Amino acid sequence: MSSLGVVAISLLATLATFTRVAVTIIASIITGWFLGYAAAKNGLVERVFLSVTQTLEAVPVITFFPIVLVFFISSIRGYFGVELAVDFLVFTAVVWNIWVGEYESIKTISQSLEDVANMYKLSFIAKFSKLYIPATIPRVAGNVLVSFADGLFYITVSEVIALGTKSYHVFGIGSLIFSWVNMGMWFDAIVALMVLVIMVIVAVFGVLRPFVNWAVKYSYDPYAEAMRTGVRRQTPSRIRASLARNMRYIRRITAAERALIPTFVRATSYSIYHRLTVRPRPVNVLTRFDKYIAVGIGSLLFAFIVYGIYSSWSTTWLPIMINIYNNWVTYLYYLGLDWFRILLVTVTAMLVAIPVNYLMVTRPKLEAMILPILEVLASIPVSAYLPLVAIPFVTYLAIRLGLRISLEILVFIVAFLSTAWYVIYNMYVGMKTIPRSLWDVANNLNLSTWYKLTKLAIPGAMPATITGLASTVGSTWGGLEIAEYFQGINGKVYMVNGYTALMDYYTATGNIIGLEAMSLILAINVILLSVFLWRSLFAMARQRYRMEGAISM
Amino acid sequence: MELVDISFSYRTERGPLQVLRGVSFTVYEKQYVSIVAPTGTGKTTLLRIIAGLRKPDTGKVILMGDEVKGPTPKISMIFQDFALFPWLTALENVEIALLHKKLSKDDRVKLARRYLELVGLGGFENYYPRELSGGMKQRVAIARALAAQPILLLMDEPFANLDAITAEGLKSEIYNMVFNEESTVKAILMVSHNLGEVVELSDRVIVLGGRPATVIADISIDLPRPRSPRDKEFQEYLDMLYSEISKSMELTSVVKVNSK
Repeated sequence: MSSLGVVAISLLATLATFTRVAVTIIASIITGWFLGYAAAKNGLVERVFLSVTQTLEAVPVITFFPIVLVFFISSIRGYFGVELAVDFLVFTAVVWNIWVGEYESIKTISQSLEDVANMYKLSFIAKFSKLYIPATIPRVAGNVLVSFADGLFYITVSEVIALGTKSYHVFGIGSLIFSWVNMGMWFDAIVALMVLVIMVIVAVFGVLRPFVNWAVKYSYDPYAEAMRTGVRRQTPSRIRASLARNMRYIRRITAAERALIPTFVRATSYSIYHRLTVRPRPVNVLTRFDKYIAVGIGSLLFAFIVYGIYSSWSTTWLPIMINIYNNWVTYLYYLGLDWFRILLVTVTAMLVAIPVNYLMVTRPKLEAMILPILEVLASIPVSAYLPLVAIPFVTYLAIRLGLRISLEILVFIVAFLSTAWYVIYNMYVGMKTIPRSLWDVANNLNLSTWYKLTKLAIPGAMPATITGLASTVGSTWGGLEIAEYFQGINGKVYMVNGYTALMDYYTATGNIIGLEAMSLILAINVILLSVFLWRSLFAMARQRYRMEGAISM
Repeated sequence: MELVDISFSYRTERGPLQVLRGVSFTVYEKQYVSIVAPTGTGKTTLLRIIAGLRKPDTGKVILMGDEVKGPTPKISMIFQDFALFPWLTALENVEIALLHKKLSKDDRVKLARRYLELVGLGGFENYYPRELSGGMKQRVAIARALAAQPILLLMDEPFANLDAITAEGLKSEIYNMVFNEESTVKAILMVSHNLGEVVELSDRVIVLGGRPATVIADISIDLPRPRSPRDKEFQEYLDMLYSEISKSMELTSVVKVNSK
């Protein structure tokens, strides 16, 4: 193949992949308007919505992918079934942030704006187009970059899935790189990766960044409430100011407020900040008709999703139970191993994030340098270049350290790369939103760096860090999934002892029952964690580290 | 506009908390009426009930002989936080009030422009709220409220979020802005905790007090306009209001102690 042909095919494949991500993101946005509305207006829907999203947000979607694939392939045959399965997977990866964001935006619309809409008898459509949809735009913008990165990660993995002897492909950059590496076409694979990297940069700086900048129009003050008490104004206005930088008609912002914060972080921080400032508000007076329409649409969507999950389970429950009975010790042991890896990765990511963020927050010049790099790195999915680097890396290291340890190191690095950005960003937001006056006090009292870190920066960053933790754990699972088990050339398999490795192995050998058994255990595990760990962690973060004037939750 | 025996309770975790009990009064044509009360007496709630945005537990609101059963453009409200749609320009914000009348786009824009000019914002049609100062924002909100062509205009602390100088300017203009040939407004009902502005602007002051709140005083202010706080009579009215308010606060705190 000519090198021009390689570039052309890589370009097409990248576009195919991007289209999938874009379609799923747009689908999430549109469905989120109705679901978010229904949840914001109806107490019952709200309760269901919140518990479902909170649980599923922390679910490592990717580990359930084979099950999803089985369901889609058995109900919709052929390429289309695989395509739908892949899209569904990406949908479940990107949707929660967007949905929750939209719900919270609608929920926090100031009462007086709703009053105005009611007073002047705005129709259902007018209310959506003039009030609810615009109100969600800043949060959507805040989530779109994260969702894009997330979506790319998951899609590049899921474009190729081997289920037993059968292997399913959809055309995309992930499957392209994978198959070229498998055929030993290293040069072509590297070219394809370069094309992907360039396209990611184009997408981030050419499409998503302008979108975020445009969204500033919608970002007035969701903090009308906050303004009333005065103090809380500082951070949003700073973030808003930097959001607004490119808008030509913003002239009145003072120079000091124009902190240089790159788009990705701006958007993320906006989104997380907003998320942290959400307060419950009483359900509004609405005409019944309005309510029924939205609640109806929302419930339908929801029922559809629940049915999809249910139907893939309904026929095989008995063999699954037997499988669990026979293997539960192994399963739990491997689960423990993976949780240990996750803990290790998360702690390491935090230890890295603390000094990096502290430097960025205290030194604007460094901040301006580091953040754009992070922004691009975060959007290039590990899963795309893993097939390229994994084998050379492990082979090189194995000579010195032995295969087992080098595989462990690879797993650690991949999981770290899948997680670290999110931990850094979340913590960055937390530190960024510490009120300026507290930094002034710390400087004024001549506190040492150590004290500034331990008494101010770290506790101040805690709520945002912890709130982001549930979703970062999801990403870590994704990293484990791709690194614990992978195929080398000539069908040679590299794997470590781990839960996702075993799931991958079951997938590759077509052990559907075992796979479903493991998925079930993992699902229960995740739900238990959501109920017992995350919620109490969030509650702790809220009470213990709540900072007056910075973040109120 | 007539308010008949309005009662209202909030649902709280500890059961219903009654904030208004048997509130009745009438607002006549060409009257600028103010409601004053200590904080937490449910003034804003009362305004929202009058606007039809909230249903009272008992009682009813009657406007020109008809009961108000839900939100209606005939009763327009101006909010403390301006309540402008941040993503719409000044002009589009005013247009919001005209959407329910099935006008053509051109007519709607024309009408909205006229109201913006009326409040002194000609030339600012295409500015977004965040590009306007506080006083200008509130002017847009006034233009929007008038554009709906209401009979009754409700104002919830309209000057509270403005700096003192801007508030002074707007206060001196508001009366003429609202009671003007182009305006359909027949009466104004304002909630405020600034007694100076209440005496300066109102024809009548209603004092709420107690817990749950009831009407405890209804005072007519009979002074020629424009009024100056330096006038002796102005000061007398002010003193009278202060004493009524402190009475009402005593009432409130006594009830508090008793309920413990």
